[in-house]
Amino acid sequence: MTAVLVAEDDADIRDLVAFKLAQSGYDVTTAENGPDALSAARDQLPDIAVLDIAMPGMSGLDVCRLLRAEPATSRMLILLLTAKAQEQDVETGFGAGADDYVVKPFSPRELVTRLSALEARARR
Amino acid sequence: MIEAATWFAVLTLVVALLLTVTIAGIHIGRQSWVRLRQRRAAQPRRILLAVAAEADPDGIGQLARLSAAQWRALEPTAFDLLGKVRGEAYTALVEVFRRRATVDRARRDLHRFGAVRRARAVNVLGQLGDRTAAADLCVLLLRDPHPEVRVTAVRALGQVGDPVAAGPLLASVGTARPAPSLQVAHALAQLGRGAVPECVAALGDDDRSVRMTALDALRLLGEAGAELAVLAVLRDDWSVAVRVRATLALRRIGTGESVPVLLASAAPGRPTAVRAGAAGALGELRAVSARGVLAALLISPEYPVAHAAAGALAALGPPGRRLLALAAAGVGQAAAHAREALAVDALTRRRVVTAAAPVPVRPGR
Amino acid sequence: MMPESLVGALRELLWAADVVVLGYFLLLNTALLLVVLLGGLELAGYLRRRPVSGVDLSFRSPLTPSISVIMPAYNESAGVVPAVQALLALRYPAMEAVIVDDGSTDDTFDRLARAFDLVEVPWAIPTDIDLVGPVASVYLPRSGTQPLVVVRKANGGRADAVNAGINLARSELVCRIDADSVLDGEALLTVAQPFFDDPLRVVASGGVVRAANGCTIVGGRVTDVRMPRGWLPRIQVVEYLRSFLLGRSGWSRLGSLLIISGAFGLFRRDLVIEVGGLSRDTVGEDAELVVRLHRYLRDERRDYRIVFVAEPVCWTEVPSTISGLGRQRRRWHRGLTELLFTHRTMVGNPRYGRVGTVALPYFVLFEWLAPLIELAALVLIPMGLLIGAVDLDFAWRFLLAAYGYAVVVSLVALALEEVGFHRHRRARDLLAIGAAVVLENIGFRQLNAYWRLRGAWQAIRKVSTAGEAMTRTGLAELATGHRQGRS
Repeated sequence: MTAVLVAEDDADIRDLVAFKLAQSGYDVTTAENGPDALSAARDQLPDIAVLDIAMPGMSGLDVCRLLRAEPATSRMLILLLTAKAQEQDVETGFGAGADDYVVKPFSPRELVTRLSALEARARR
Repeated sequence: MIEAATWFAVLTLVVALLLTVTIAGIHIGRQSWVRLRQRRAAQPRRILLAVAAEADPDGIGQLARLSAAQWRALEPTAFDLLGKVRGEAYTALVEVFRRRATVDRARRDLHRFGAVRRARAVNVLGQLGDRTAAADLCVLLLRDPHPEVRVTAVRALGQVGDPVAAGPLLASVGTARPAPSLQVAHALAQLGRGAVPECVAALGDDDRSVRMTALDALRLLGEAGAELAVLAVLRDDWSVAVRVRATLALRRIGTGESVPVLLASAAPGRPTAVRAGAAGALGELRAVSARGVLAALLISPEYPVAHAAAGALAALGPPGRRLLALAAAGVGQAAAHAREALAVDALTRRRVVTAAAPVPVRPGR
Repeated sequence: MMPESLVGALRELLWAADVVVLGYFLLLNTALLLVVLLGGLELAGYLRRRPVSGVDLSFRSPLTPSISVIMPAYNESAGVVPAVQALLALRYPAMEAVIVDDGSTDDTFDRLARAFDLVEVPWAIPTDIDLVGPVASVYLPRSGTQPLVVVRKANGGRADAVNAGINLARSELVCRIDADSVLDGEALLTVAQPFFDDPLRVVASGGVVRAANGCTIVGGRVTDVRMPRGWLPRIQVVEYLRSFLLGRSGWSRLGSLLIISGAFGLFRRDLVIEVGGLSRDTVGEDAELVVRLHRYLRDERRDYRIVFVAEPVCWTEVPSTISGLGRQRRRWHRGLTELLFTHRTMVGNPRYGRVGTVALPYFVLFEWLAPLIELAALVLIPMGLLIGAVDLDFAWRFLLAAYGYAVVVSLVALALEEVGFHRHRRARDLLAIGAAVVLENIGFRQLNAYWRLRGAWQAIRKVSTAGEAMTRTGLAELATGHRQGRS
């Protein structure tokens, strides 16, 4: 089973994503803020991380950059989930090292599709 | 005098005690009420999340059959969730609301007394994307006496997405009690290509707020077909603010066609803001042919103009940067602007951008 | 032995004085109660509108006005990097952070340079507002991914630093935050919303400041609101609730919001430049800017609005020592005195609308004069008792009416907050606040009155020996390391 970390401060979105992913066969852990997300990622070394950008404590972008900078976590698949939809934001997101960028309002079904696509690409 | 003081003192004591008891009561009352609501909503919330996750019809049916008390406890969460999802999840949630007659109630509330109730109803209809309410919303937009209702109607019309609202939206900016132009422009953009004809027509409106709103909307829509109309505004409009907005719009929708008019707008003698806006647009459009003019603008004593020109030259790439390097070697403000633009450009270019997957810029429903 | 008639006359005089003092207190507390109740109305309206306020839309809209957050920093070595990181994590789509190092003598700048990988950038420095301490150099982060600008300049005081930040800001709106204040994640969105809704008229908006003491702060955000341990901060929590949350809301409802608390006000950049930026001649710069804006815009007959947003958005560490508190209160009252003196032609002047006819006179009568009357009461009542001008009954009834009424007003404020925001979750905290409401009147307000009087006296002395004394005081303040942001 693929392990996924979901970091999101909004409880409804977090529970929804966790539910959908668990139902789709992933092994899900959650975090509510930036620092918790970072330590969870470092401790549990999930295969994929779904990060909200606007989190208290540390933005998802910073978490992403830090994970990319460390050898143990640098190959983790990272998907950013955020309400920031402008072109510069997308640029910034990918510039931070994300593998994919999903904008809110989002479709849970599409999220799962993207995650499996990421996995498939990584396996190749 | 003394008697009055006594009465007053007693009154004070009594009121103080009452207030203390009230505060304690409110506090305790709220704690229990919140706990009760959470308990009531706990199980339904799980069903709600399941419905959002996989649109299962059983779940929808269960939510439709919830008791009134449970639904009241769950409704705020359901509503919040509605604003956060799209696609299948969104449709499923809308169906739940439909079965609970939320839309009908909201439509009735549109005509009720009490501005906040109307505003809430408008908000609900917008969130639920109820197209049948579009006409009613337009009427509210233009005629409701309360500003909050009108603002909420603007947002709702944007969310509903029916292009028939384009005309009324633009008109609402020009009334005696206008709707906020930024919100209207955003709503117009959400209406999509269907709003373009009205926006182009509005470029000729008497009211400058309407023209500005139309320009913002066209910019957001990225409607290349409007380029000539916008150029006409830049050339001929009497209002400086409108012309500046036109330069902003041209950054997005302009092509080589726009360069001559932009060059003319950047010439000395024009208003500072327009010159700066035109210079910026020339840079955004990568108009390499304009580099000579831009370099000349560097020595302008007007800070915004020189600054915009320097930024534009940097955006032109190597030909522009060569001119900047020449200017940077000199002295004075022009050289300062040139040096700054070169340094900032160097920093920006270091950002590595990987290939982007297609991302919806305007999340559709 | 004094002649009977003289003693009698004295008695009459003292009795009259005591009645006047009693009347003043009744008037003061009634006025305060009215403002608090108005604030409650405003709060209720705000809360009902909140679900439909469209803040989410502003976050996603590309048209949302841009904000430059200016942070003046003077010897803030310990807290500056976390403060800037917290700033950059704020939830706002179009924001830049402008950090102004006002000639710090410690390693403030070095820490910033290391933490954000700063690199010096040649900058064409705009000079819209004149500065005392000129800008030396400008820095950007090397990676260019964070919207951060760091400015180093020669020391010129806090107002000068903020003016430098305004000069260099590139956004439509500017706000100022001190390094030791903490903003809520959505603070900018909330306070910018009036600009989004009414872009042609709104020129400034302010947000509520509350005491951060005792609260749990994680990564630059207040995650749990708790009452502080000491009684001094506790009493200040009550004060802030009454004056900032409800008092400001009440004034905003009257359309005459005077004081956007310095820790969090959002202004249109072009207008701040038009009126000349922050004033360096006063310690109450932020309040003075707002009054100056009112004056300028009314003189120019422009249609404008200055709005107060009732949502708590900014948290600041309040002084927890008596000496620290004393310095702060002296400074505040000195600032108020200077402001009222500078703009004395506006007081009672109908040309300035409600600001001139209602707000300013209120501030003169009930804010500025209050400490004098308060201390006078402490002297006159015992004197009256001694001479027999008033009897014990009058004395305790007076006390109850004056201080008891004040307790009622505070309780009303607390009740409104409890209904509205209910940020204090624990019963223990509510009890602490309740106790603080009472304790405020036993010692705190008398001490406060004394400090304020001293502050006013300092301002009056400065005004009467203007020029040379002003510079001396200013330099003395700088020499003693006038700390940005703290008391």
